[in-house]
Amino acid sequence: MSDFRRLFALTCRPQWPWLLATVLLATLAAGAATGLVATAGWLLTASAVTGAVLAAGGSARLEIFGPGALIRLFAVTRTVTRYGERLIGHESIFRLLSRLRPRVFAGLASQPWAVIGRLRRALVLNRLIGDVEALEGFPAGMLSAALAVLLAGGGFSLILAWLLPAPLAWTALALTLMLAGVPVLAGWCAQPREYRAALLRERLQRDLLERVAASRELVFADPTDHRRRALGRLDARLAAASMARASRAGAADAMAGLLLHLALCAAVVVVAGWLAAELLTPARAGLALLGLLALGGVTAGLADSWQGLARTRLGLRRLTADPELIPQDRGGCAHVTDPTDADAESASAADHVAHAAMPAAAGWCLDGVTLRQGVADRPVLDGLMLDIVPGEVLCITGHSGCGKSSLLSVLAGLRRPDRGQVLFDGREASDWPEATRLSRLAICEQRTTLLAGTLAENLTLGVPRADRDELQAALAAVGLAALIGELDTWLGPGGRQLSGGEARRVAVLRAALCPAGALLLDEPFRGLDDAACHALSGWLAERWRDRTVVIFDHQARGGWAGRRVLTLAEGRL
Amino acid sequence: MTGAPPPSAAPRRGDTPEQWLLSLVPRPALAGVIAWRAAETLGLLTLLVGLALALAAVVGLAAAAAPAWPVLLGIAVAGALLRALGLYCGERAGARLSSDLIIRLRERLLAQAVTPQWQLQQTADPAALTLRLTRELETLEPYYRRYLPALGVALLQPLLILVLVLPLDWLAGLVLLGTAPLIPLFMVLIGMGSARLAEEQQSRLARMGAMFLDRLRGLQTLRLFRRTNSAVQDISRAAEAWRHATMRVLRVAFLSSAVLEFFAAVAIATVAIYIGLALLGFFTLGPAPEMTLAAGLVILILAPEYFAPLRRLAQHYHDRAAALAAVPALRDMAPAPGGAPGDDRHARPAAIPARRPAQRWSAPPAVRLERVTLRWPGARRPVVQHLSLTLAQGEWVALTGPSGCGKSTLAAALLGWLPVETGQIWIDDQALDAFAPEALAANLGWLGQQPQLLNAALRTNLAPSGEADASAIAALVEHCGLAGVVAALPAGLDTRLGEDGAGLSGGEAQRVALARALHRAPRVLVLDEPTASLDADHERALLERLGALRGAATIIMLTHSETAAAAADRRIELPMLERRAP
Repeated sequence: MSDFRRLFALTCRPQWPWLLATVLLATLAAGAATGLVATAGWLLTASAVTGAVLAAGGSARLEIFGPGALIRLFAVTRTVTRYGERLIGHESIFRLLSRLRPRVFAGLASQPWAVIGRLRRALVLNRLIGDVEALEGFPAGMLSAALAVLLAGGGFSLILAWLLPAPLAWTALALTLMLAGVPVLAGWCAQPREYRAALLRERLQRDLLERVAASRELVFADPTDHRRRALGRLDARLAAASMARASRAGAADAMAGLLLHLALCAAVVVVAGWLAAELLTPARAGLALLGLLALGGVTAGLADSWQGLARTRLGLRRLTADPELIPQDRGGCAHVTDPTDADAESASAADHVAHAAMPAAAGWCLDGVTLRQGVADRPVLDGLMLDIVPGEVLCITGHSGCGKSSLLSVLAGLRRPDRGQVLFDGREASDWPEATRLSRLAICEQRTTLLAGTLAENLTLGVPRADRDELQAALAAVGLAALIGELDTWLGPGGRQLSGGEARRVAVLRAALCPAGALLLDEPFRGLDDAACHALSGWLAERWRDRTVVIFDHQARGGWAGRRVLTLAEGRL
Repeated sequence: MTGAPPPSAAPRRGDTPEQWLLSLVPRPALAGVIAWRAAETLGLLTLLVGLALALAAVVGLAAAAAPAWPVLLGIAVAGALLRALGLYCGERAGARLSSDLIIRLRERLLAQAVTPQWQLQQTADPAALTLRLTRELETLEPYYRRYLPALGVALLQPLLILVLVLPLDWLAGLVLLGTAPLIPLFMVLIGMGSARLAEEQQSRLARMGAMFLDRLRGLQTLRLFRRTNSAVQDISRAAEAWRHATMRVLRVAFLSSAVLEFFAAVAIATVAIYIGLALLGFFTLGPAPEMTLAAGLVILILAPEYFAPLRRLAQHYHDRAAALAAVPALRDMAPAPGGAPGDDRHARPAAIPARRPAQRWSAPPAVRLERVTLRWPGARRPVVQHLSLTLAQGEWVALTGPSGCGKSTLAAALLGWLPVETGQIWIDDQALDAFAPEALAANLGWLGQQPQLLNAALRTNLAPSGEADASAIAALVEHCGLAGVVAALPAGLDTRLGEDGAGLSGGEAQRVALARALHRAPRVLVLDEPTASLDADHERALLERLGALRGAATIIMLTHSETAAAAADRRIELPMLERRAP
């Protein structure tokens, strides 16, 4: 049950006015639909009885304008409330959604560095969207639909209790509970199977993505397409699961309808007895029976949506699991209110002020640093000793997998060594708040990651207020003169694709433009020819004169006067 | 269902989206769904008529010549049972129809999506393609499972009700008949607007999905640059834009059902009041004086059901709009019709047959480029122009040149992924484009700049074809300098590598990819910067390994590395084309 408490807290509480409006409108719509037919049933039966009396020459009076007006009122109410219910219901879904997604991202963004690294990225999107959508569907699609049936049926039962003998009202209440309960119960019982199907669907997505992404390699490496046949089998299993789901929903629908109809037939028998005993007028019998029949029509789609219960709970559990991806919502603010990020904002404002005066060069002192990697048996860094003097240019070389990237993480304070001490600017690296520490550093990772956005946005990631002349000059200096006119060109999907060498230089520029105290570059010249490499290192030397630069590469490339070259091997320098 | 000839012509590009969607439906299966839905309708009408007559009889105003009310109730119960059965079986049949169709279509689209030739023409990245194969493809499911059956019922049920009502009271029948034609008219008018809006929404959705994925991909980078806050705002803005776009669609889309609701409610109210007045004898026009309670109740009880199918159809109308909006992207992915022989689009999905591997060539071929001009899809200027060169059988050639001189483009052309604009590539005197794709797949090998490892065991990553036995894999591991890696992994060759080869360094991942490229002993090997992330030792080891292939494979190596270029038999410098027109 704690699942449901969290579900309410997460999806219902933030937009309870919207949700309340949805439930009210849905109840009104269901009530008006029921009322329309019930009133018409009353009017017809009463008219027939009165008409028969009149035809027999008797005298009778029937007020028909009141019921006629009521019928028209119900007709208009049904139209308006249904339109309103659907609009407001969807509005509340989208409000919830545009609130949840940034929160989920913010929660993810404030996870420890190692957690971000472990998250399998393409999967995160699919899963996250799926999880968030499952949550978003709960308040409007499942909860308020079931509540509306209950409330409308309950209201109708009350009216019956007022007009008719009690047993009929109890029957109406029982039927209402059944109409709402069968779909919910069917959803509840289907949870284990739906849970498995949801996981199966994720596996299919994961394998599909991988198959598409690796297709160029697999054309030759797997010409008989083993992997795709496995995918076909997975898809067939998934199809079987969704068949089973449709069967369950259909069975729940059919069952609820059948029970209602059988109950109605039974009610006719009972009503016949009461009519004979004159416990009931014919008109009220018509009202009750037609009203109950109409009530059955308002449950359409309930069974189908409640089959998603397991998916909703799966999404909820994952999003609120440890590490908690949804942070506490503070004061309705959709974005991160993490103090480190607030620091970051002020830090980057400070950067701007400090821009004219170059920031002081940063330095490190490493003493006996040992770092173990997940898969490797021997430590990647093994009692490493290193002093980096502020303002020096250091080139750390070594073969692939020797721990260069790990050393960079340690220097940046993103990984804490298993043993040993890392002093950054004279203070233990991990003691610095992350935002302050990172504001002193400009880092270019080994993997080139450009963001979907314009070239200018990408270049100014670290210096949001850099001026365009500076960007153009930098582009020209590193041999990217062709891109000078394309600062506002969109990069990434649907935009310009840069070549490997261009993207690499953009990534290096992006880091090097930051007004930081030290520049850490992981294989900055990857994929560049010697000319491009020289142009880039020449520009870097000029730009980063008197500040600390640490380059990690296989060999010392690009001429750079006065640099120190160290080789990392066996975890030591 | 199996083996039935496709009842419709192969879909043409000129078809409307709706025609394309319909051309995918196996007619017998659709007929089955409609039959169950018809049974449901018949059951429902039997139930309602039985109930109405029984109620009239119970009240004491039975229709003339009607059976006693217990018999009527018995008929109603039978109707209820038939309806429940029809509903359940109809749902099942609909679900089977749609899931069979989706699975079949996904298989076809995937076959296209994994074709490198096709991928090169696309700007969509693999994640976007995967979204298309899952989320967008699945928007078709409600169209087949809900919309089409609802359409069938919407045509059938009102007609049956009219047939029942008209003989009872033609005036009431006329009221129902009169309101019905207006409904499709309004729905078409409003539906046209919402279909256009939904298309816009689809592209927004795609952009938003891409934004979310992109910011997640760049999360580490964003964190390093202390910009996660602005990324949260980017996502927030994208979500808000999505909300506005979608609500704009829905405000219009829901209008169509509101119009329907309005006409339905007015018609029911009118019929009810008319019957009431007729029964009281206040209304004496036309058939009104003959109105009985039994007839009136039957008409009243059927009137909501006259409109109910139309309402359900309207509710599924956005299923249709979403499916139609997804069609262009999906249709672009669908291979041209009439491609593969025996492509039975309507057969029930079966296991994908294993593709027969083509013959391996007996010797490495000579490769000759004859005045080849290459242009990247969508680019204005060619990257390679009038390039001619010849590689002898089994020769190892290094192609060098500055960044951006078209090395990767040339690799794509050599692998048959990018057609030459002019000129010709010859493999042993047969034009490259004259080879069957299977023959190329079986004899060529490729290693790119950024290896894509599989989320599978290291063993599977080394030999995804499953063709290499244990000793062959051991030899590969040894040759590609992976022995240390295997030893370091907790379960050795059986260790599962995560997505992005989590756990391995860039250089290690590259060596795994090299081993994969070599495990089927290709006759032509195209290497794009194979040593870019390797240190000198591993580079030397790799070059030795390539040297050992001398005579067994013709090797084209595109590289920057001086060491690598020097190790090859021959080195050719590619000219740099001026990128910008003067």
